[in-house]
Parts: sequence; C-alpha cells; structure tokens
Amino acid sequence: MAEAVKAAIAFDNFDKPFVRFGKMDHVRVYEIEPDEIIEKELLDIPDASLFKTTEGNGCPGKNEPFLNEVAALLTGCKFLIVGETGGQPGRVLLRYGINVLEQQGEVAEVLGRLQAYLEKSK
Amino acid sequence: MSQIIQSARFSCALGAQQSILGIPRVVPIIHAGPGCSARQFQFLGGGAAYQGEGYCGGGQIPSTNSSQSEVVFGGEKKLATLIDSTLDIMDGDLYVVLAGCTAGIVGDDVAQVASDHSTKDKKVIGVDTAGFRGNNYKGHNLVVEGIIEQFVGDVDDEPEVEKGLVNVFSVIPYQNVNWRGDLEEIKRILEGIGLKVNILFGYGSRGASEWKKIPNAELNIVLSPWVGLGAAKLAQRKYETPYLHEPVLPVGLKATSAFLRRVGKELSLDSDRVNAFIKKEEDRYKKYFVSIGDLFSDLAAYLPYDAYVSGDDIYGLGSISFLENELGINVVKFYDTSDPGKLSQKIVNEALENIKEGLSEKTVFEADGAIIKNKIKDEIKERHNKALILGSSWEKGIAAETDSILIYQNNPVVDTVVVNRTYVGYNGGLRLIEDIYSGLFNKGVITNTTHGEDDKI
Amino acid sequence: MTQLNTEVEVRDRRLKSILSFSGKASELQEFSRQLKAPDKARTFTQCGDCAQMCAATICYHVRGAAVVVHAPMGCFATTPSTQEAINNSAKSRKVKPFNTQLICSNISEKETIYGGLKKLREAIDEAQNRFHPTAIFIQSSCAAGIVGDDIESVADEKQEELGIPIVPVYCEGFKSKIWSSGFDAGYHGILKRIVKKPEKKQEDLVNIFNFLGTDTFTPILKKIGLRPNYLVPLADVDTISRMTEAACSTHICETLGTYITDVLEKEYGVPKVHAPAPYGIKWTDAWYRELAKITGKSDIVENVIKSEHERIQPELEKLREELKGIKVYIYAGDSYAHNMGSIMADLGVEIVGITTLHHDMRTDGETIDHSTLQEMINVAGDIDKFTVCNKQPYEIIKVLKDTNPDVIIARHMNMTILAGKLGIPSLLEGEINISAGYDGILIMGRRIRDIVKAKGLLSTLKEYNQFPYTQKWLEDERLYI
Repeated sequence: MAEAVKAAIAFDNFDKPFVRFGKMDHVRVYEIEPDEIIEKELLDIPDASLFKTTEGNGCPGKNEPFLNEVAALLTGCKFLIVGETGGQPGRVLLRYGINVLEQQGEVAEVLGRLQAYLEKSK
Repeated sequence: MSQIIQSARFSCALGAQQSILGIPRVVPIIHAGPGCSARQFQFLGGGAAYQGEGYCGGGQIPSTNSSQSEVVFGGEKKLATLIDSTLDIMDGDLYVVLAGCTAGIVGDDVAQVASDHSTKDKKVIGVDTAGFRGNNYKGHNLVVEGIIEQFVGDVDDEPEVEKGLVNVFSVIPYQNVNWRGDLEEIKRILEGIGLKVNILFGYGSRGASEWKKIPNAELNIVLSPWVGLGAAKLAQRKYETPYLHEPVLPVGLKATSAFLRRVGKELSLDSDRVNAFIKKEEDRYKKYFVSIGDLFSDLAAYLPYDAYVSGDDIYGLGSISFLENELGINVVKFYDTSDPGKLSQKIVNEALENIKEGLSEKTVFEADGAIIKNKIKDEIKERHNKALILGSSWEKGIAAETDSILIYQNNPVVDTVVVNRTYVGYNGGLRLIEDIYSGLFNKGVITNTTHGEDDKI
Repeated sequence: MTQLNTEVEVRDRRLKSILSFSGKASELQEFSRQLKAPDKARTFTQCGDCAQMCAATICYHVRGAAVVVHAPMGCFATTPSTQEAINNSAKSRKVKPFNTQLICSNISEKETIYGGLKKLREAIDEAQNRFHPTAIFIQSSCAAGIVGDDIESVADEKQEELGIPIVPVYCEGFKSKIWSSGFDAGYHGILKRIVKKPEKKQEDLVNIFNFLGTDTFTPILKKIGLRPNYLVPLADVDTISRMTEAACSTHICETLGTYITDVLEKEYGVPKVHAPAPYGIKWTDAWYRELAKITGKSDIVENVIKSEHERIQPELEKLREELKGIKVYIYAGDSYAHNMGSIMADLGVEIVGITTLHHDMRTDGETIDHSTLQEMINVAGDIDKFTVCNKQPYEIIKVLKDTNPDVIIARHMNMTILAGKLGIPSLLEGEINISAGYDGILIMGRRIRDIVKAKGLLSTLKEYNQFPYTQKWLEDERLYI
C-alpha cells in the first residue's frame, strides 16, 4: 500500500463494535499499514432524526441527508465496517468512495483480516 | 481467433449452472456475485429459444449474492449458511455449488465447504466454475467431471458391469438449443438396438440415481468431438469403463444407421436385433424422404446447394455430414464458435476430413458472431448462389438481406420457440429437411412460371 | 373537479374502513408478527440482479457511443434482443434507431494473474476501429474489480489518444448490496467525463431521467409550453453533455433519478422538481404544479389540470366499472410500487399487497408523515401487507398464495413466471413512461382489464407445474429464513 488505508468501525452507545448501521452511535477510525494498525480518532455519529427527509419512515438507513452527512464525516475512510446493514447506506456511501462491509467479531481480529486482504491485493 | 467479442455465442464457465439444471431434480447453488446467475439464465434460457426456468432454475436458484464483505473477509461462511438453508427449502436429490469469479479469485474452497455441509441424505458437491476459467463449454466439462469425482466418486471393488448399460456424454443443456429433443432421440435409438441408456440429462433421465450408476456401464459413448471426452477418460481411469468416441453427432439415415452399427459392433450386440431396428427406422425414413421427392425435383433449380455453418462443432459436424452426404449440399464455410483448445481443434479437423476431404480447410475457429455474420454475408454475395445458413439469431439480418434460408440451430436464438424438436437421429434428419425446405417459401410461394434471374443477391 | 375529489375521498375512507373492520388488517398484523425479528439477515437468498446490469440500462443505449465491458463473457453474453429493444424503443420515441456498439474484453484466467489492462486497451481499440464512436464507456466487473485493474489510468490515456470521452463506470456486482448502485455508477461517469457547464439556458427544456421509454412526455409538457429532454437512453453524447442547460430536472423513478437530479441541483444550479413522479391523478397534479412554479407557468397550469381531469373522466369511469373487484398485487422496487399504488387508487382496484416496503416501517407502529409511502397510503388506503425486500421467490410464493390476486404488476425479471405458475397473469412492466400522466392511468386500466384473458392458459400452467420447495418450507409459517 502506498499510503495507510483508513477504516472506520461502527459502535453502539455501549461501545460494542460491529453494531447494525441504524444503531450506530460513534465510529472509531483506524489507520491500517502493512505492519501496524493505529486507532486514530473517535467520531460521533449524529442522530438520524435530526435530518429531515420524506423517505424511509424513520429508518436511518433510508435517510439520504443523514447518509450524506455520515459520508462527509467519514471522508478519507475507505471502509466502514458494521455488523449488518440494508442496501441503501452502502449505495450512498459508495458514491463517496466509502465501502461498507459487514462483519462480526473482535475488532483486532477483523482489522487484521482486512489488513491481510489489503496486503494480498496490492 | 478473436478474443475481443462483439456478438456473443457463448457465456462463461458459470453457464454450467444450466447444465446442472439439465439433470432432473439437481439443484445448483451459486457462490458468486448477485447478478451472475440471472445473466446465465438470460442468455442460456430466454436466449436459447425461450427455454424457461423449469423446475428450480431462473430466479429460484439459491445464490450467496457475494458482496464486498465476502471478497474482503472470505465467503465460505456465507456459503455454508446458504447450503444449510437450501437443503431445508429446496427439494432436490443432489446439490451442486458453483463458484463464480469472486469466490474463484478470493480462493473460497467450495468443494470443501460443500463436503462439510453434506448430510447423510443430501449430498452437496462444489465445483470452481469461475467465469474467467473459460466459456461454458469448459464449464460443462468441469461440472460433469466434478459430479463424477465428488458424487459418483470412487468405488471400492471393481464395479459390477451391467450388460447393455451405456452412459452417453453428448449435447450441452441449453447451450445446444435442441438438447431435450436431441437426448430423447439418442436414447430412443440406442434403446431400439437393445441397450439400457443413462442419458444423464434431460426429461428422460432419472437424475442423480442414474449418475450413481455410471460406474456400472459396459460402455461410455462420447457423442461429440471434445466435450465430454475428459469425463469418459476419467471414468475409464476410475471404473475401467471403455469408451467409444463418436465425434460426429448422427443426423439423418446414413449417419444414424452407421452409428448404430458401430455401437452394436463395439458391444457385440445381436446383429439381427440391431439390423431389424435399423431396417424399421430406415423404411419409415425413406418413405418420408421420397414423399418430398416431388418438391426436390420440381424446384431443383431453386434449392440451396451452398451451406454456411455458424455454431459449435457438436452440432456442426453432425449437420455437415448430413448436408454433404444426404442432401448434396456443399459446405462452403464452417465457423466453429465453441473456442476449442489446440488438441480439440485437431479432433475437429480430423473428423471433418473423414466426412469429406478438404472440409478442414473450410473451417475457421471464430468466437465473435459479428465477424462471422459479416464474412458469411460477403461470401454469399460473392458466390451468388442460393445459400443455407445453419446459425443463430445473429444471422437473421444477413439471411434476409441475402435471401438465404436460415435454420436456428445455435445460440443465441430469440426468433423462435423450441420445445421438443431435434435435428439428431432419424427423426432429426426428417425435421431438418422439413425446416430447410420450408425456408424456400420465406418470401412467398415459388411457381414454375418464371425462370428469370430473380434471386438478386 | 369537485365531483372527482369527492369520489376519491369517499373511496379512500371506504378502503381504510373495510380493511380495519373486516378483520383483514388484524389478520395481516398477526401474520407479520410471526415473522422472525427484522434484525436478522436472510440466510437463504435466491439470485438477484447486479449493479452492472443496471449500469447497462444507461450506457448500452447511448446513441453513437460504444461500451467496452471489461469482464469475462458471462457478464456480457448479449443476444440480438438488446438491439431489438433499441429499435422498438426508438420507434415508440419517434426517433431514428441506431446500432448497439458493445464489445467484451473477454477476461480469461491469464488476465486474473497478470492483469487485464492490455486486453482492455485492445478492446478499446477494437471499439474505436469498428464503430468510430462519439464516446466509449468502460464497464467494470467483479473480476476486473478484484484483480484491481486501474481502469481510470487507461481511460485517461485513451481519452488523450482518441480525443473522445472514455468513461469508466465502476459497476462491479459485488460493490453494493443493492443493484441500483449501478445507476449511480453510470451517472457518476457521465457527470465526470461528459457533462459540461451550460453555455446557455433553455428555459422550456425539462430533463427527464428515464429508461428506454415511449415519448409520453412531449404531449404532457407541451400543455404548459415545455418540452422533454429524455436522458440517458437514446440520447446522443452531445445532448447528454448539455443536460445542464435545462430549466429543471425530473425523473420517472426515484431510485433511478435521485442521485443525478441532486447533483444537477447542487452543483449546476439546475433545480429539481421536488414532487413525486407523475403517476396517478393526485401526483400528476402536484408534479404539474411544482414544474409550473419552477418554470414560471403557474398561470396556465390550473386550467390545464382542470381540463385534463375532465378529458379523462369518461373513460376513467368506464374503466372503474370494468375493473371493479379486481385484486392487484404489486411487485416492484420501492418507488415504482408507490407509483403503481397511486394509479390503482384512481382505477378503484383493490391492492391486496405490495412487495417492497422496508422492515422497520412495519414494526414502528408510529404515524408516518409526508413520505412518498404516506402519499400512496393516503390515496390508496392502508394496504401494507408485507414488508419483504429483495423479491425472493421462495417468500413471495407464500404471499401470493395467501393474497390470491387476479393480476400482478411486476417490474422485475423472473417474477412473472412465479405468478404464472400460480395461475396469475402479470403485467411485466418493461417500460414505464406509458404509465405517466393522466393518460397513463387510462392505459394502465386498459392493460389490466385485458390481461385477465391470460387466466385460462396460466391455469393449465399451474396445473402441470411442480414447485421445487420442500413441503417443510411451504408449511413453515415463517416468511423467510
């Protein structure tokens, strides 16, 4: 990798990782390099209900203004890893070059596997 | 041969999904991207003369719909979950996982996952048919051999040979558009000379249980130039079953009778029985043939004597033999669209030379339908003769433009519907005759009141 | 007009009340509650669509442009039907047909090991030599995406060399869980490499983002002195590049058009018509009014709306009579299902179910405000029967058996056969322009009335058919696992 790849992991408000997209409270952003992974920062995710929309009936995953805001917050991240998500968040974030992945497990372990994948696909 | 393609004549290795669907009650499970299965069905279902989803095809096919998560973190877990739930929801006798590009590049071991999730009653196997591994001719070979390896498997002692039982490795489901009618006719004529037939695909097959009996056959018949040859060789290695290689699909009286005699000889069948069946079929066939004699004689000046074949060699060789030897039609060019490897090309060329000297020089291996149809058009215009084209829907435009007779024999076919017709065997020869000479009247009835130069090409 | 409104309102109230008093609504609720918690992902999925197929609906049909599909043959395997679609559509759009110009680079094993850029360059050269196109789209694929081919750099290089836009479209199937991302990919490429800043403004021009479709918008827009700029299928590269000259943008499908109309508004100052697409009377009225407001036609729009209502009234009444009692099931993407719901309300047919709605909505139980869903419920009554995503046949078979509709309106492939195997005729919505506007309601009504003739043939299909599902699954109360 020429430069470090940034990946964000979604946490709920009990700081449990790999939460469902709609239940995301904050993310931790990690920088992934070939030989180390560094936690860079914690970003709060705003409440989706603050964003007015006519779609989705209260579902954050279908709230386009909210999704655009999440994408703006995650600028620079190549990946957002959640536990589970519908299709729309992935679609909107992809417009900004952010790939939404689904996984469960331990943070270190999952990031390690992502690191291995990035190494392999150089 | 073109690598860059404008008009498709085949799909990718994952098209073998349709081969799986060709075995009654066998369920394919696709481990690939979300659109792969549907694409295969579009080309090899709707695009194969509107053959539909049938029992468990089309939109019903279970698929992992692999996403980025599977590419980054591996897809075996998702596949495992899908296999488990498929066994609960889909009612089949055998389940075959096919890996697509995503799984193939990432390295998911579908055979292992399949094996791990087989149950006592429901066997699951896995074959890597990633799209980039080749076209669906290759894919078909991979799944046939895969089923033999993983489902039929090894047999402990020497398998008990059942006298008169044969396995047939022939046309490819859906890719060979008339496959259902073809296999029915092949089974019929082999049964006619006293054999028991594992036809393996199509409505006359008993499905997975038939495949299980592959080791018990007395003989394997490979009825195609190179597709299925690997399977027969595999069966020979595993079960010591000899094989008879018949590169030319029998079409019409002469080829079919000769074929049956060769089979009879190979198996030392009672020649009286064989001859009796052949005679009965020939008597019938000849009567039909003679009945069109008037048309042949009256309209001899209008019949096509030039033919162009645009399609694979499975159908191609059989049709060419029939046209040359029975209908006196001269094959001007054969465009073999199946993209055979060097060794397979050799088999094709040898078989062509056996049909008629010089035919291999008239053969071009070309996969781009756009190039083929333009070349055919140019040559017809140059030669100025009434032409017969055995081709696909890609040839429709040039056939109309050159006032040629077009027979839809090769994919894609979107201008006609195929149910059970065949151009193989005795019945196939008659049906082909029907369709070729009906084509004379595409633009209206020919009367013998004008003999002018009205076929302006 | 007063008469029409009253009738509509009465029907709304009647529908709502029937559903709540007959006990059907509670039955539906109960069935829904038996579903597994929506938080659980599906473990059994049947095959879907992919982003590349959606991108193709945009790129394959650009007049004069060529497409290089950088993929193995399976992503490409086209038939002459692709050309026929253009021919037929051009005819109904009253424009000249043109040849499809599609090439596949035919990625093989070698390319997955050594990279596919050499083949990509060859394919671009082939496209140039065979077609002399005005632009070349490059569609990526799962194989190209995973191998990591740097399509962008080849596009830059070739654009420099050939002097025409070379447009990468990143529509790899695995990139997104929903295939409509393919639309985004297509539009993104177009915005990046084809669309130009406007040199002038065409005040009467309205961008209409649609699929291959009939020219129904010329008469619709003509009535208020405007004309349609159909985008993107059948338009040529020059027209596409000048979409920024239009007075405003609208679309016939939210899922298709939301992204590009947003960008045009935010970055090029081309306002978006903030009203749902014109399907059904109420939405067509609202759309006309919004459009008129933006283009300064508010003074004439009310008369147009009034006279249009009067014009369709006689046949609409006749159709309502003929369609009385017919039960319709709608099986389509979110926005199209809403569009159809609106029309069904005008025709007075009973909607027995819609497949498309999102899980959370159902379990919410809260009042919904001004969403397009709510708009549809307002006009069509509460018909929220199932919240099923992704159109999986193994689920829908249960839904259809339960609701037993007379007709299904399907806008997704491989679905009509499921209905057919249950003896139910389908309207396969190939193009949707014909359902737009006031006339669209009449056309839809006639089509529903006529399609029920297929019942006889399909009942035979139902009789002879055998489904591949285990008895265990069919008897299982769950809708999906």
